[in-house]
Amino acid sequence: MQLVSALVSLLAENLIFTKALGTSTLTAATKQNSKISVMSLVIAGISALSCMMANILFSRFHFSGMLKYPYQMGLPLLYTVIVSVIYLGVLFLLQKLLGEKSNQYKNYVHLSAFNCAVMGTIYLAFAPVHVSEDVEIPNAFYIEGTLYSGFSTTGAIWFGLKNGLSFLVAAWMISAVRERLYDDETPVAFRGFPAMMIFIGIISMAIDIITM
Amino acid sequence: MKSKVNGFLNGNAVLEKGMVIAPIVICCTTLHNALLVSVAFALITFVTVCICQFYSKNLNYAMRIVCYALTGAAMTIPVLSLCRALQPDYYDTAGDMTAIYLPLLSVNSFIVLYAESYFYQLPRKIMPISLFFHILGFCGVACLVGIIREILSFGTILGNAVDMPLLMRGFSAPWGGFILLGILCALHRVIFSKKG
Amino acid sequence: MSNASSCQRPRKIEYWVFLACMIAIGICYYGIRAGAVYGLSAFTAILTDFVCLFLEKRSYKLVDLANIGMAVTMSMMFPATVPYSIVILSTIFAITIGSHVFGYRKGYLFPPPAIGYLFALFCWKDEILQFPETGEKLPLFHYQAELSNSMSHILLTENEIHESWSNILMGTIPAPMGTGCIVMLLVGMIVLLSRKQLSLWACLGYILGVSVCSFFTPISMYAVLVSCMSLFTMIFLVADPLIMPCKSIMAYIGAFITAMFSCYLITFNHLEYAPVVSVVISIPLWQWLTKVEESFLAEDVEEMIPDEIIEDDSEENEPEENIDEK
Repeated sequence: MQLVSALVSLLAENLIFTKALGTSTLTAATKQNSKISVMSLVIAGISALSCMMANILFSRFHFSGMLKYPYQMGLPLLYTVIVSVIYLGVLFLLQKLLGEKSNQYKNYVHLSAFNCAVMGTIYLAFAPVHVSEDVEIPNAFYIEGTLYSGFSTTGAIWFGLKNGLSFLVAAWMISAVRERLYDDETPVAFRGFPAMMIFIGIISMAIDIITM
Repeated sequence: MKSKVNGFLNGNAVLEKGMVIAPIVICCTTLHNALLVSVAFALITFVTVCICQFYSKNLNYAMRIVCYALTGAAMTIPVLSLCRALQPDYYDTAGDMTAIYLPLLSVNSFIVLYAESYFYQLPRKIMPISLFFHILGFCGVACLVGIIREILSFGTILGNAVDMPLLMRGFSAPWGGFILLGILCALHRVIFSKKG
Repeated sequence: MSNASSCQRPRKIEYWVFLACMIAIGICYYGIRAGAVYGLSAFTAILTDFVCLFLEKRSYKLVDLANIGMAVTMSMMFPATVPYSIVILSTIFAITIGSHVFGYRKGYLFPPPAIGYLFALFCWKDEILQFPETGEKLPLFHYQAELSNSMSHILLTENEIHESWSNILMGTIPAPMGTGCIVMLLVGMIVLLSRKQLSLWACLGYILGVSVCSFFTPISMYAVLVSCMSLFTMIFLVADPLIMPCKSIMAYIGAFITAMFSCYLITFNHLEYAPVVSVVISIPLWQWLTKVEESFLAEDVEEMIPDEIIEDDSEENEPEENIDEK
């Protein structure tokens, strides 16, 4: 039952099916039949690290004022700097640890770093939830019925990982039907990308009805 | 001339290449939202890609992408501030659209992927024209999706009532955007594969 | 094309007789309006098929009659008071998106009744989830019926059944037109199973999934099976060989997991339409099970291809175009 509950939770807040974040990356990866699992894990890792770094900056270095005035204080720049640092760091580590073998994995990092799934996770994590008129806390630390009093590093990491895992679940679902969507059975006009969009739409409809 | 115009109908980035889907699916539920997304996307992308073409090619790929993304983020701030200044009431009540999806335009596929692989391979004089038509293609799709979804879901166009016998609320949800986009992609493929 | 989907069986006469019986029960309970809803749905399905096949440059064949059955099945999940416009739009959506977009002549990807029902539910929830009393003979137009929530809704909100078991078994309760008469559904299920028009293993897997889940939930297995369209979903959506993988073990596993998921949604999310939702979400699992079946059980599948095979329409297919996968 816990497993079913976790699956429902991953579907109900799924990046692809409910927020359409990372859809372009996923459809491109599915078309090329790339290792979607590897890409999803890279996305999960980068998302978790990004949320953790952002949390540290907001809580320890008191950058949280930027959340109230995002454009005046350059919040998009801050998030991009965070992802850039992690992106370059991961590439550097890959090069150091794997040497020439790192080339086959670099493409996954290039595709995974600056895409809507990772950037969207950070925006989602720190989007304010209005618990009451006077109280609002970042989305990552709010669970219905329970209030977190402040920024939490483990909460931020878990939020990033959870969104990455939801991307993985969506990727598995699409890869399971991929052959069918490119099959001769599917009409030529819909074969491939159009059918994939409609497939995602139907699953999204079913998930929306659960949470309706 | 054909290669300059490529990207508006033939070679449309959304319908053929599947780029920048999220703002269309989530945000373009009405024509008003679609226009806001289109204006923001056009300004951010055009200025960012034009500036970034002057960055040194001696930088390695990763550093170039980082520079493009930072430039896009820097451009997002004045553009979205301008949008907010023009329509403050609407902007403050738009929810996730303005809090998440418009800022995400700073790292859209045009800037971090397509610029490097396509636009910067074109001659410098032709690149802005091709970029303009590609952006126009995106804006066209966004507005078309916005109009259709607004009519089907709310029975209005830009808030003005249209005589619709039955409304289908579902098309304002994300799944409606996905399904509509899929149908438009199929239509685009049918029309342009015949002409091709 | 997968070997597993080659062993889809065409509809036999028993399936259509079963559908006719369900339609007759609907007309007995709700009057001429029920028949009009079914008829309109079937007619709309035929028209939609003709239009879509015309656009695809294919001709109408015997196998396309299955879409009529799908449309009627979808209508069975509606109340008798559903507006005709909703029936038409839902049928068009179900047949276009559920059948023609993904192809259907060798097997459906999504069950069109489920797609059409969920579409109608999302767009017009109030019209779909309010039901008239049985025995109220509704006219074709301008009815004035007192509507109420379904028995399933009351079970999920109050955790008890107010109706007698005889009413539940005969379907004389507020419920969708074709999902309430448990006796008829059971009889039909037995006939179709004996004629191999339904997957026995899928049925067993579904029932086992419900019974296992009932250990962890406050709702009993019998209550789940007679409410929330569970039995109907099992017969028409889960055990239908046109939709489900055809081999025993994989059908059993897929149905078991679908039932568990459905019971979870019934119990914890209080969804009276949970089985339909769980079927749609389980489609990727079923497709994966089909692939596993082909990989590990490919030798056995060839023996299973029946003598009656689906007509090959390869002559009418357009020449394959190069799909530019960029």
